[in-house]
Amino acid sequence: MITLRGITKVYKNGSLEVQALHGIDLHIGKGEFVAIMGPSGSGKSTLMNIIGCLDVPTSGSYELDGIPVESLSERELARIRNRKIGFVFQSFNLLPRQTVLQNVMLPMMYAGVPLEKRRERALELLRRVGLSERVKHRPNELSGGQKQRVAIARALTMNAPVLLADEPTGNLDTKSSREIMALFKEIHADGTTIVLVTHEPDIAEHAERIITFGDGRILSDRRKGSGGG
Amino acid sequence: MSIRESILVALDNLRVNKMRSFLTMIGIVFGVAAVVTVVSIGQAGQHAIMAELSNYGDGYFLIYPKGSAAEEGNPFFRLRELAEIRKLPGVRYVSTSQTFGMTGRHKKETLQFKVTGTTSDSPRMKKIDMVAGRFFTSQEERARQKVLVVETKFADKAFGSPQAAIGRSVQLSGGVFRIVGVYKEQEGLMVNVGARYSAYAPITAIPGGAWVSENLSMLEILPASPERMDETIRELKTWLAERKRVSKNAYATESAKDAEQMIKNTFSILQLVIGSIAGISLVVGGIGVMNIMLVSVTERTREIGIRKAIGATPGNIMFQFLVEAVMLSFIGGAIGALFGLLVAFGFAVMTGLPFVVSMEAIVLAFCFSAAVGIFFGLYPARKAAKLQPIESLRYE
Repeated sequence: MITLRGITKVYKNGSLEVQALHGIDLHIGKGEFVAIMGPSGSGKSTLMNIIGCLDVPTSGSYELDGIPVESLSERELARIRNRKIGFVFQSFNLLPRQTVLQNVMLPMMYAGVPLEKRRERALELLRRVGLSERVKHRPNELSGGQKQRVAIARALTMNAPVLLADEPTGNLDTKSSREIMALFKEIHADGTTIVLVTHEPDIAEHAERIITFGDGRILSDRRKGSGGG
Repeated sequence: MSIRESILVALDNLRVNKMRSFLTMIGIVFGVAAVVTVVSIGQAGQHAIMAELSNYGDGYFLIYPKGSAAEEGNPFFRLRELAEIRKLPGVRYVSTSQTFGMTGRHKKETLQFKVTGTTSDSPRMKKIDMVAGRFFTSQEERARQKVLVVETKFADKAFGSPQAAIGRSVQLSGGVFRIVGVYKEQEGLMVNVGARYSAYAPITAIPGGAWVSENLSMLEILPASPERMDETIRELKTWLAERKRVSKNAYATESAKDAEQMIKNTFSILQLVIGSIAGISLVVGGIGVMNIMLVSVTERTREIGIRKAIGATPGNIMFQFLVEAVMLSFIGGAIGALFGLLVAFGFAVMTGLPFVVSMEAIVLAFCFSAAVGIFFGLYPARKAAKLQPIESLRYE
């Protein structure tokens, strides 16, 4: 599903060059549940952004669902983000002025889905994450756990094969974290590939495969039990 | 994302910052209001003057000696020459008129009159709406009878109705006149300045008219064919030059057509000038739109990042901001057009001029304000479209 070969990323800060990634080779198969761990500054978020097509590597090649991504235009990358990837962020990243329902419908709007279908699908997903009662609310009227569930519903609308979660439980209490992770497991069980960035070991334990990062390199790549591919 | 949806989203965003949106619009509002007001009032004025000019027969013109002509001899016209001029092949009707201010007495009241001394051919050359009685005849003119054709305003006031006025007498400073007809005064711009009541009388019947009729300063001519007015003028000038022993260019003419052309030119220059001023104010308004859109792009950097992360293309983002800028100036344009029409209407009510809704001014103002929105919205929208998703998402 995700194949990275020799990915490097160099940030230029004035005359200072910072190498965030040093030649990453990584393959993540279809249906895997991978956790990427590491301290802040280890390059795990940079990798996440490259996988999510939010950022482009300085060198190396990246193939997502059979598509070589590194040569795509902005417009094509936007399509890939829309169709192939669902994002869940630490800070939720919901549009504050839009209702819960509108937030969930948004990816489908950019995909050109008719309004009636959008509404139907969004309501269905909000029911699935247990927020049927909150569709008309605005994000600031919800708790952290609820906001993250809205974000998850939004990430699922396009049936994207890959779900990327960047510290999804970073702003949540233990109870909400547990609920969100349960939801991720459910989504994984439906066949979605999940890549989860976290620095909390107990959250990473939910994944089948744990990749540890340090200083822009993969330090370890460990598979649990019989999982993985 | 359909256009309808884009518009709704844009309106929603404008609603969030009501005060700011409104203040931004003001420049556009005044620009458009100025255009619509000025063009509407200008057209109303033009209509009124044109309506007045249309009272004259086709090809109607005046001929008069130039100021310098007196040095060559006596260039003035005599009343009996009118009959000879009428026999010229190019001339259909000829008349003359001169106005006299007179005081009249009616039931112990002193009234001011503007009496036009003219000939019986006058109603054949310009529109005089008779409502009762008749215009004076050529017999009355020749016999120097003191007969008078008064306007309805006077007939109504003095005798109650136009019909009741026929046959009654009026004491004027020029003698006692008998009313033979009542006409309806044309509505227009230059009606009745200085005198209260207008009236027509034979030029021969006016005291001092005997002298006047030997030294007429102006003739009114209706050519046999309106298309051949210029030839008639040439013919007339040749005839007059020979008869009066003066040069051909001793006489000048002024036609209704010339006046019409002059008025049209004047108004088009006026509209061009005002239009340019309004254009400048629209450009200033446009800069306001650009300014506020740039602020909006910066404020909503994070929103742009989120939208891009979930699949908005640069084109989607650009379109969203462009629609917002266009809506801003378009709504400004609509308010401005409404405001301009209101002012023009108020002006019409106050002055009695017709109220003309200038569709072309409204359409022009709308197109121009939308163009301003596109032009000045393009740069901020491009800026928004070019934002990097990852940097926008990090923006706090």
